[in-house]
Amino acid sequence: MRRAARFLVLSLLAAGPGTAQTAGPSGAALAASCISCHGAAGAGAGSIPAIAAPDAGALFARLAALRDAADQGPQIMPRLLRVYSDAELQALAAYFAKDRP
Amino acid sequence: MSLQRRSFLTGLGAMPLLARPLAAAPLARVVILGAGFGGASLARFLRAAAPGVSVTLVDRQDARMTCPFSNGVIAGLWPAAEISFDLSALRAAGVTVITAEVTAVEPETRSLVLADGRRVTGDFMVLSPGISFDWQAIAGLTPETSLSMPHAWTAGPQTLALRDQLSALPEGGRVVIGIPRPPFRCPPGPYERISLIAHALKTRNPRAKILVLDGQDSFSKQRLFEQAWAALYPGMIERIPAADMGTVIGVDPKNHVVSTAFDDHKADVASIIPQQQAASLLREAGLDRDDKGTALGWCPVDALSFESRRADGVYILGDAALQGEMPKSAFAANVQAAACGRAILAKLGGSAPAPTVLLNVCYSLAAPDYGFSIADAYAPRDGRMALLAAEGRTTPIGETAQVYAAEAGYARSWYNSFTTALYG
Repeated sequence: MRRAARFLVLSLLAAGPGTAQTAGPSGAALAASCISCHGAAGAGAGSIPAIAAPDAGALFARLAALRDAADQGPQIMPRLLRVYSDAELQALAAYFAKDRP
Repeated sequence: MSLQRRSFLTGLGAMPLLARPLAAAPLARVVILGAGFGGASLARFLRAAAPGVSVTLVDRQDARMTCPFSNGVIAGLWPAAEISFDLSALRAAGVTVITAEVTAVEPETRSLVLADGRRVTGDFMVLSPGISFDWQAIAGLTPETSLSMPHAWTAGPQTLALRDQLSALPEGGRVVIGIPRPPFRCPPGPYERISLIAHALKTRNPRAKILVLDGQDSFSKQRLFEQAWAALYPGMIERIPAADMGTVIGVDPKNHVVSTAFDDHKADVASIIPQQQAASLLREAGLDRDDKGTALGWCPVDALSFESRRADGVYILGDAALQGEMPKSAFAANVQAAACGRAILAKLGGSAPAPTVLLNVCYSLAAPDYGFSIADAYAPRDGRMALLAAEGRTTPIGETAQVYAAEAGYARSWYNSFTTALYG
């Protein structure tokens, strides 16, 4: 948890003038839309699964597979993930991997 | 307060980065109007991300009911206690909460004027007061007469009044639901209300009927709702769209009659939802004007920061904001608050906020164990919030009962997680 907080505040501070375009997507900014359902730590809630994972690479692969599945099925996540670039999914994966309990 | 939340706050409180010693002046003062989903989310965000920023939250009341899940209270499916919260957790998180009536908003000084004459001024002022009703739109409907035909579109006494009237519906009685012209808070909300009332009546009053007088022609998640109504409540719901003169233009509360341009409808119980606009405090302050000075009814904002187009240092979140294509939903107000909070902290740090994707997920229940969702992504484009993918936005139709049951479970999980994070 503490590491997550540090990451959040550091990433807030990291964006100095003019860095927005070069720094790449902010995982913390993107994650603000995820935690509404998945909880502040990404640990899941009720029947909503966890996003937090120990390994950012594996989490990115999971998110990308949900996004790219040929049969998207009825679930929510493919509908949401279809708009995200690889860079955005990598930023999210890094954020929630660091956010593991 | 959950253990997880407590450790989250403790962890953030230990962060020295944006914190200052208690005696020092705050890095900045943020004053927030409205402790609903927009205001409470922003207060939480700032306390967690920047403990050195002082946060003052003003709302007229400490106790509150949420609009999400209020339709189930109205239908008698779960108790009001399940949607009832107060602001004690926000206080515990270090937010200065002032319970007071606000009589004026002063954009130029970033101040709220309270009923007792006090002024609350911030370096930044964030307004998230929600909606007010346009009582001119329906003849005979006033704030007073509305209690006999409750809109229940702000949760609270109206919610309980409608619940009680429905529980006394005569055998085989008629419920009339009046839906306004858009835009209004929670686009699928009226249709969820119709569904959950039908669910309750199906067992306790199966000959009862629901007449829907609709100021819209088409509506959110329409095919999903109509599929559910045909399967679950055949013959119970009749809907007259705007094109067939469904729009409510007048009421006679004494005789319980609801009128369209075409007909007068006798109701045993009526829920008439008026037209909506941004909270009157914001309109009176001129924050709903376009750049030519014309009143728009909703308050234009920059979609990246949610800063008002009319006043520097003033930010507007949630239902009151005119930001583009995001719906007026609890979920949207929450993610807008995070974007606004990041913009405020970026400004404090001398930088510009970077655009980011904002999501909106809205669940609706057609029955307690039958739900579906609309799930959308938005991003700022030319200063407005733009929908990123226009096709395939909802749960598909023709799915199995298990799919719809799972969505109902997600709806409840979201609600519990969301309200605990803000008020728990």
